Amino acid sequence: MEVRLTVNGRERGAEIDPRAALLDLLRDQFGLTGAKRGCERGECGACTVLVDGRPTLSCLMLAVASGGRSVTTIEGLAEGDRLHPLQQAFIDHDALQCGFCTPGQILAAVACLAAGRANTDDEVREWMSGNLCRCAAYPQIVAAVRAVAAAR
Amino acid sequence: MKIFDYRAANSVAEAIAAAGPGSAFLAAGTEVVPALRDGLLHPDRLIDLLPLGLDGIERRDDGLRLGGLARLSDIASHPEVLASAPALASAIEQSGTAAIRSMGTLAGNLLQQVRCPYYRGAAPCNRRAPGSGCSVARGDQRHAALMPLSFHCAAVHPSDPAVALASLDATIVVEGRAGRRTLSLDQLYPAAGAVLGVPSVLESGDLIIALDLPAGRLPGRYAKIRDRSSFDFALVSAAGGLRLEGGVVVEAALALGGIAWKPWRCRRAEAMLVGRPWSADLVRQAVAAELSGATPLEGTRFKVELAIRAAATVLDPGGPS
Amino acid sequence: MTIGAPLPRQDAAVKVTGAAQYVGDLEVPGALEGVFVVSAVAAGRIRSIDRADALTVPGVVSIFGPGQLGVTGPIEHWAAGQASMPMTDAEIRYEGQPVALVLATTGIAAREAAARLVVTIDPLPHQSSFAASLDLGIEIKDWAPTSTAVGSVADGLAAAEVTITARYRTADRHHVALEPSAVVARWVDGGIDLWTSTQWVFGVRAAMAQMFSLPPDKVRVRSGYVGGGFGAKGSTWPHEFLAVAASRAVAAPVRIVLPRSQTFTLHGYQPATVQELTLGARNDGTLTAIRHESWNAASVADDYVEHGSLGSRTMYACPNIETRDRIVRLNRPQPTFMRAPHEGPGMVGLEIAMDELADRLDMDPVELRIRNYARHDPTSGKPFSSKALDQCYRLGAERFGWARRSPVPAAWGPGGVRIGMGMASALMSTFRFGASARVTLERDGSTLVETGAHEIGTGVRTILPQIAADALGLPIERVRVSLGDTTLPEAGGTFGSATTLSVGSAVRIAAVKLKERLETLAGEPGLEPREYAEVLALHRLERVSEEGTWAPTREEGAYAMNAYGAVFVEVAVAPHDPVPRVTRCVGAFSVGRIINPRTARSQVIGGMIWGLGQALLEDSRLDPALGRFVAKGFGSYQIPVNADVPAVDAIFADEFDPHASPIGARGVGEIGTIGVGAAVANAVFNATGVRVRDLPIRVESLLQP
Repeated sequence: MEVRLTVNGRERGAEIDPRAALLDLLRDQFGLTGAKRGCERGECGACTVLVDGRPTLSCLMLAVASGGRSVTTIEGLAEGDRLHPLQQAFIDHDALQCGFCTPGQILAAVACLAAGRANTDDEVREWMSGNLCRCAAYPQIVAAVRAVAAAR
Repeated sequence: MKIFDYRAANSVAEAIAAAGPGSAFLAAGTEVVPALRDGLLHPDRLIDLLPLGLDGIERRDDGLRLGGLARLSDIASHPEVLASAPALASAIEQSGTAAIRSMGTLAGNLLQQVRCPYYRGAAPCNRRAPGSGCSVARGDQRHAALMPLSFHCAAVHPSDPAVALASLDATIVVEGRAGRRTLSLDQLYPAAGAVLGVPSVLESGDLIIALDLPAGRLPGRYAKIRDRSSFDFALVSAAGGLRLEGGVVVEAALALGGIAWKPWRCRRAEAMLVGRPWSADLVRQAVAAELSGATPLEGTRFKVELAIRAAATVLDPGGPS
Repeated sequence: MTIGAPLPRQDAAVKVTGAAQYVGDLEVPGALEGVFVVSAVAAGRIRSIDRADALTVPGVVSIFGPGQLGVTGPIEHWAAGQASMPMTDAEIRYEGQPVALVLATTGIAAREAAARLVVTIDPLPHQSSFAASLDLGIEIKDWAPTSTAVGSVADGLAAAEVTITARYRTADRHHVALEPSAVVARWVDGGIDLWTSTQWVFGVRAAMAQMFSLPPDKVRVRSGYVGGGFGAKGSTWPHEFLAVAASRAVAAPVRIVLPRSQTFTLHGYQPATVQELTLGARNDGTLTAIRHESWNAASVADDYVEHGSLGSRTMYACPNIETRDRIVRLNRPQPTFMRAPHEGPGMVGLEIAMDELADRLDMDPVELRIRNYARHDPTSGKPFSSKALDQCYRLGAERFGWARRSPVPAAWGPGGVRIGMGMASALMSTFRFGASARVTLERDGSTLVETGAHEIGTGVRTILPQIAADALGLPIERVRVSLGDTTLPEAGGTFGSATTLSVGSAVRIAAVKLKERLETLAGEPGLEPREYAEVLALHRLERVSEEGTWAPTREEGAYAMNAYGAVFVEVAVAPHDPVPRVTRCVGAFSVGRIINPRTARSQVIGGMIWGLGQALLEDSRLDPALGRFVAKGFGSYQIPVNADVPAVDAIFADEFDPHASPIGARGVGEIGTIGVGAAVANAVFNATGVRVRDLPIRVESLLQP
């Protein structure tokens, strides 16, 4: 089947297996491997991307159903060499260790800020709870998100 | 996952017409996609409902109408919902994760399958493989029911919003081959004793168009007891509220989650509460009476006390509203 | 001085942009995707495999069954996680054991074919219940003694005025690194070229060389970035051998990324323990006897001892200490090391028992521990290389506000919420290994550190350049590092909290040698870094390179070495929602010199959150009737999420350990996970008066009507 969608601001098309998830399309066909396969059942958040601005588990969305939508992945967040403020905050607050969950964390955090849910530490903790971090950089992640929220 | 034909529905009529043996409806995918991967569903045809919209939230004369495909997060943040059904907003906010709430639809949430690890894993399970036995009976019981569907299945319905909706007397508007009909939430789920592999009584071609929240109900609260502070299914949850006049309960609504294959509306407890002076003891006695018919397994016995505590939270007139 | 500076992670930028490549991210032209079909029963024999339906799936290339990959088992090798090798015979030894491997051109096709493969297994009776099998416990020979005795516990108990005897339990737990183990295997010129998400490329190389009868230089192993390991990727596991064998069989690259469910059975877990503790003490708190016996669940085909009593041999000054560790062989997958093995589960028993003793003596728990402070190792008699635990008790108690603790359970908070405070000591024996590193200075001043260590999230990629920059007097920006490849100088695995002290020492030695070489070339000591380029130019050299090797010495064996900590925890238990919630957590640690306080702090905070998981959540329940782990995903095997984690604070004692390593460091990676479990249980007791001896603590234990 064919699908056409916008990925990181660019129109893209692909011939896909109807069983493929958006995650498969991004990683295996578009080479956008920032979104990770952590569990393939919506239980870890490592594949989080934005679809039409909504935080989306790309392992749970069929690629065919993404037609006409606009997808933002971690690769599309920086503007040229200028990191997104959240990317910079994750560096500044040491909000990552092994890095595997980091792209999903950052995209969930982008959605958290957009939804206006970064007003307290507890609000951020709740919003970010869908993104598991086994290295457990959670306090640093909260600090990074709060810092960006405060700067706005 | 076997290959299937994908079809985007352009109208409700088309979606219903396209449904048939071997077909399945798809909305956000949060429920259907893992089921496809795990071989719990193996449709020949997948009918994508998202193009239908059906996601409005509107105030009507007789209450609120929520579109069947309204996204959970849109419902929880809607001013009308926050004003007249805070129990529902709270149940959604305590459900899943930000991404799952943002993706998931209301109808999909009500129709999700059980989370029993034996059902989801390659273990004997009457729900997945009728006649293979229920592994819960002599296995891991912590998340099993106090009120099992039947001797054959002890799994619980995992939805939080469903519990709130049960306490709010929500009705479900279903469009199907025979036209439109409405069901209570209780009617949506199988009757006790049934052994069904499916989580609801809906048939092929039935579509939940909308949910109606009648006006004038107690707004209520939602209390969820879970191991993790977030992103966890309820061990036990409670939705509901009460209204006192001069210290006497004049109106009460209570539904419990995490204890049965469906949200458990506590009519008996409500009847015991109404007309009596409120006290913490009265609440305890009422919920205990409601659960007196429970047949707990060794590993679920603790849920009786937990249910009493959860109910006490929402039926506390001094608690936060 | 770059050592001691809180420099940001050198790999942060590639990680926040998604550019960091993990094994599953590699583009490998022509690679076939492999999926294992695994046994659903815990014991049995494969009767037949019917491929007909599976082979109809478009894209399927091969389906291998037992004995068809040209490998034989078992593999006896120190780097292998288990000796038993699946797919070499028809025997089923544990649930989740691979029985077939499907290769296809896409992952979707491989999975569909795997689902359609019909494997018929004749089940056999199995024994999987640990709880019901303690009497089958046996002692086996292992890297550390399984039993020790000093003095006489019988005499010590006779002299005791108070005794405590109780059983404590820790649960089966899984590593669940966010990156599922992944391997890409191919054969090049009769040798193996392997990418695998491992914590130990040289271990994989050695094990592969033996398995495939190759000289080690015909095996190249690379790890790339590793998405967490925690011990699960510390050894070489069957899926890695079988990927290599499959690649040979089909003469094409083979990639296997384990589905999440298979990560629960294919590369180990921390086995459940039962611990029996007896403490004897005088009324003033002086310990007269410690007896610690521990049992752990193990598999039928292999050995793994969780040395639960290890910490009790060295923690407290006591003239009479007896310890014993036993395993119980069961039909279950092979356990392995998991972040803070041995003392991680073992200190749960000892430190809850100490709290019980403090309660019985009506003594402050910190005071009891200070009363029994060990100045030398009570079992071996050796002096400690360095120990600042007394500082940790003081610093931690101060930062936490321990003085505000009420010794009797009390309802303090609003709405009848019970608040409790608890503490525990942490101890982890220091593990060290030999390592080599090469440091190369280019004429333009850029410097490269090369060593076969790994970045699994611990900060190695930042710390090693810091050490080199420090020795050479260069700014950190000029130093790059190359890791995770067997073509680099050999280092041990990134585990055992040992990389900084071991590999860091090798880097320092190499960098110091390099500086000396430059000074020799210049003919003068005290060369300034800005003069390096001049010296190279003078000698017409593009670069100079030196290798350094470090290994523990015999003299250092005269010292007992441990990392230490003191952990303080506050919990809240609400009347209407009595699930215990941790509200504050402070850890103070004695770990030698801190090279990078920023990454070290993240390490121990992460460790403490692991401890919260052990205390309140992590419980991989094994269904004894089915002989299988029930939870095979993040949904049912629960680890802490962000909302579970309160304010967590970590402080380090000011310390330099001259005997553990030339850079003064011991280990940071695991100590944070220890002590928290007991401290939470002790805080729950302080809050509620309920003594819970089994972890994780469940709401069921706190539900008196």
